[in-house]
Amino acid sequence: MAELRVVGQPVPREDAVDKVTGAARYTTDLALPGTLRAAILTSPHASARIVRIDTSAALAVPGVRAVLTGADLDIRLGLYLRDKRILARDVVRYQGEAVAAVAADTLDAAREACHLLRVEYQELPAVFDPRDARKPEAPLVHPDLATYDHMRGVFFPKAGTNIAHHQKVRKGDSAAALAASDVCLEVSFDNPPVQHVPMETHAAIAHALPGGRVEVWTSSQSPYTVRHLLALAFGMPHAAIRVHVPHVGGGFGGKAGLGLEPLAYVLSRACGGRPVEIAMTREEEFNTTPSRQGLYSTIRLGATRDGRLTALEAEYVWDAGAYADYGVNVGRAAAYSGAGPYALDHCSIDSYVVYTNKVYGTAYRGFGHLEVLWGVERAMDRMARALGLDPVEFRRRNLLREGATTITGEPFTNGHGKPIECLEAAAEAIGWGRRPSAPSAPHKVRGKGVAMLHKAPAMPTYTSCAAIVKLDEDGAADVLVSGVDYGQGTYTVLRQVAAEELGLPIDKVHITWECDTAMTPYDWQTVASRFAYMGGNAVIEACADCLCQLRAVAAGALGVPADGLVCRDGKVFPRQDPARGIAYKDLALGYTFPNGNSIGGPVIGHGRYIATGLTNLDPETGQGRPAQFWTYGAHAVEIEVDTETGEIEVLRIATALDAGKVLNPLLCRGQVVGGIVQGLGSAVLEGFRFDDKGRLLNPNFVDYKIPTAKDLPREIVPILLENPQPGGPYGARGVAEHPMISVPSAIGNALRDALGIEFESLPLSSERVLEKILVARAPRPDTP
Amino acid sequence: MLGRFDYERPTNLAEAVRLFAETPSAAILAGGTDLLVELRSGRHAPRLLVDVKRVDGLRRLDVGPRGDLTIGAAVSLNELLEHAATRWSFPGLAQAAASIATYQLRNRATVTGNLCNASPAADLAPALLVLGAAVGVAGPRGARVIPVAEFFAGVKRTTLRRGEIATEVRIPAPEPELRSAFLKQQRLRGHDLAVANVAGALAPSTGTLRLAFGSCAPTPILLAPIETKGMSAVAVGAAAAAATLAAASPISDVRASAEYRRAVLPVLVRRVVAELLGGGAT
Repeated sequence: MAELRVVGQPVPREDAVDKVTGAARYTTDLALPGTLRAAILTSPHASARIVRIDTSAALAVPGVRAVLTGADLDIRLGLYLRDKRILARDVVRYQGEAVAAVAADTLDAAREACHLLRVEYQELPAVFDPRDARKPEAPLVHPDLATYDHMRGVFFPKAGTNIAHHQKVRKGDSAAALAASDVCLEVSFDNPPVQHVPMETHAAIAHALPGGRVEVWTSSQSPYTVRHLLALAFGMPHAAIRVHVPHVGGGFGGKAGLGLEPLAYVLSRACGGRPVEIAMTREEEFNTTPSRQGLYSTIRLGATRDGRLTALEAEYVWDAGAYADYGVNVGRAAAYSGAGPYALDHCSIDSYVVYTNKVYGTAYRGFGHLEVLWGVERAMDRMARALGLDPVEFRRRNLLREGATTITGEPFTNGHGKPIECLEAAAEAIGWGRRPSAPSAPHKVRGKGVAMLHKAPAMPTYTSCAAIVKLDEDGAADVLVSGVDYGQGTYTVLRQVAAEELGLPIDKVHITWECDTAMTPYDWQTVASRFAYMGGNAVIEACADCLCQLRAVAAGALGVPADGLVCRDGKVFPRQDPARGIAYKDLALGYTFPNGNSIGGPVIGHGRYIATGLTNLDPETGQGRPAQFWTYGAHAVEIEVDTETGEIEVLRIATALDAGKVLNPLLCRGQVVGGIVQGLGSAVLEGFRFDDKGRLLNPNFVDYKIPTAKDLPREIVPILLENPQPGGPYGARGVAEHPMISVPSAIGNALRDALGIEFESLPLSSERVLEKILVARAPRPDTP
Repeated sequence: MLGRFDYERPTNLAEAVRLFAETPSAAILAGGTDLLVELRSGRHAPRLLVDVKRVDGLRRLDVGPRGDLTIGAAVSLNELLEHAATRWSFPGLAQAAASIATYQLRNRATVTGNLCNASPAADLAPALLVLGAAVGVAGPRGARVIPVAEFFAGVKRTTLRRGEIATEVRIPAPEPELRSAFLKQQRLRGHDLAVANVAGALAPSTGTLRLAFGSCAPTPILLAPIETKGMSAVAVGAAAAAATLAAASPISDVRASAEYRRAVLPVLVRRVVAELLGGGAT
């Protein structure tokens, strides 16, 4: 490959100045004149029948334009399983579920009207723990599950139960292999549900238009998926729906799929086509919009005495909450990744996504992998200890390497990247093998831990996207895509890709920041760490199309064959005669000869990309090819624990990822730092707390804490390896979600090293840590 | 939605007292960092807000001739923290103020408001208790002074009478070489309410140690003075920890269990004692 000029450079993000100056426009900045404001009333009960709703007082509030309840809306929504109403109809299934909505001239009027709605509920039995929900006597969250439409052949809801999906993975004969193992262990782990906590809460504006059309502005990761799901839900042609996505203040998976858009639309319709804006309060963001699912896992490992893994069995029980949303796909993806990046001949995984009467789950950075690897990577450390092996050495012996196959039967090749190099680089960076340095006080202890991570994009086998690149009058390029840059930095990377391919400097390449399904070309969704990979490939193809057009026009202008022309430095010239070059600006709209004759026309390139070689998984064995690419990595941490208060401080964390090719080191390191901090939240702070009636106890920033700048590890060491990915743009893989995955596992392993105590539950809060320290120190009765 | 209320911004104290006293269900607005949360949640729906930030004299931050300090009711935490004499003479108070919320909120939140909110977790309360501080009050029946030790009546309740406005916090002149310190247990290093907090002040000349703690009882609590002359730091720490636990009656809430509070409270006490008396923490 020729030397790269722009790709691989630390180009600063283009959006930074607009964001820090407040110039960037977000959804609620875009309200049209005359826009109505909407508010929702939510259920105080986790499970109840809606006996009646009296709307008369609400309708009498001055300025109220519409009041809607579930009774008005006979529509079911769902990504994979159509189980959800726009507003609860007949029953509510979680505390916080929207029961009614009001649109009014002002937000105050809408909220006042919500307060005046009189809802009569009849409480119903509820179930909160997914392990209880699997029992035969459990109340059914969806008694009509058998009648729901779902994506057949991929998801398998079990009629008459609370199981929304059961994903199986079967490879070899795990039972026999475990029985024949020298050493076996079984351990159970759990993770609570957590919130994404985007800086900008969910918001949408809908404008119902004459002729059954609608225009939507939304804080979303997925303009085309929003359009598609709206079209399905309302039976509208796609062209009748136009979805705009302006700047988005963070998503982390929580703004994938469909959110507030259908509600905004039906309210706008009910108000005779006035535009309606709805935005979540922070409390609603916690109580009403979906979260990351909780997980209960049980893992059995077998190994030979010389440290070879023989088998892994796992049962994953996901707390889906009241609706399936993305949760069923999390349960699917985390199952086919559910053994970690290890070479295993024998593996059996059952992943159950189980309905409960709690706020429902959805995608969240890592898509189930942080949760399952919390258990797997803690179990690997325990096995290493049981074998008397160093945890790094034990992993080194068992990681995937050329010649092995994944648990779904995919051959592991040289193009997959190097998990072993990641492990060794991370371990080395924290001085693995040397004792931890002396603690900073007598009541503190230090420990080290490592953990592996891996993840592939979880997406349909036919996932595709497109890019358009058009040249301006001045020879600069504009890139149009419909993947959303909601903070990852992908747009900057795509500009770099276009600059590289077109032979332009970075400041001559622009990207359109607002996605618009009427203007920007198709992209499935901006999720799964696949945008730089797939969007990058589409931009490369679109640039090649531009260059082809440029060469064709230049060939006509110069009277030479097109295939002898080179495009570089904003000019097209014959390879042998660079001085005869024509600038892009003289070709971008067509070329004009001195006598006025013109040829060509505006240069607009089109590129596309579709996932290649993926297969659906066998329903009984999970065997198949689910992954466009895998990204592997490892964390190594050194922590200090205050044994009197239970506080953990991360002294140093080294994170090695095999990025294939680092397209932008500045942004890549930013992703690593951000992911580590978000992973730290899951590790030591975050988790929903519910009372015995299923009410969320910490739906605000007083009671639910996420890491702040003061909570950063003292030292973060990002290590980016570049073993190229065949098919990736310049050999790149996605790295967006990965830094977050397995941060809790590494800290849990370091905690075991520091204290000699095993932790199975997240978060590793100071309180939980101290409790275990005190129990471990308490005198025990003598055992015979 | 904040509800509907009238808003007045008087410029003299008598007018403020009159407005506040004559309106049933009026609330005082200073920094508003606690009040607006209450309004927004609907837990509190006053008919009138009396904004005292422009009242003459309430922005004073004066050091008296003997080193006593008067902090007007409109003085923000950051103004206190930028006040060199406070940092020099009352480091425990500065540590407590700096531990509250974020820089942006400390631009709004007031010293007096932190006491008037009467949260059991108020971080300034233990720090002011060990300094022997008092609250200056103006009311329809005149002015009076309430020692901070007598200011809290229960969770979110003070001993202010109807119509009375807290106008300032007064800290008496410190004893020579007075040392003070504050420690707070929270769930993360970033801003958080206290799981437990402890303040201490030691007068080296007399050896008298005052300790106070918060977030472990319905009100912040000041312990009886502890005489430290002739005792090791470890022995003082042990005695102080025992006295603290005897006075504590923590509850479990979403931030921490009562058991955790009981476990960390003596740790904080020993660490404060060690800091004030020297010698390593246990």
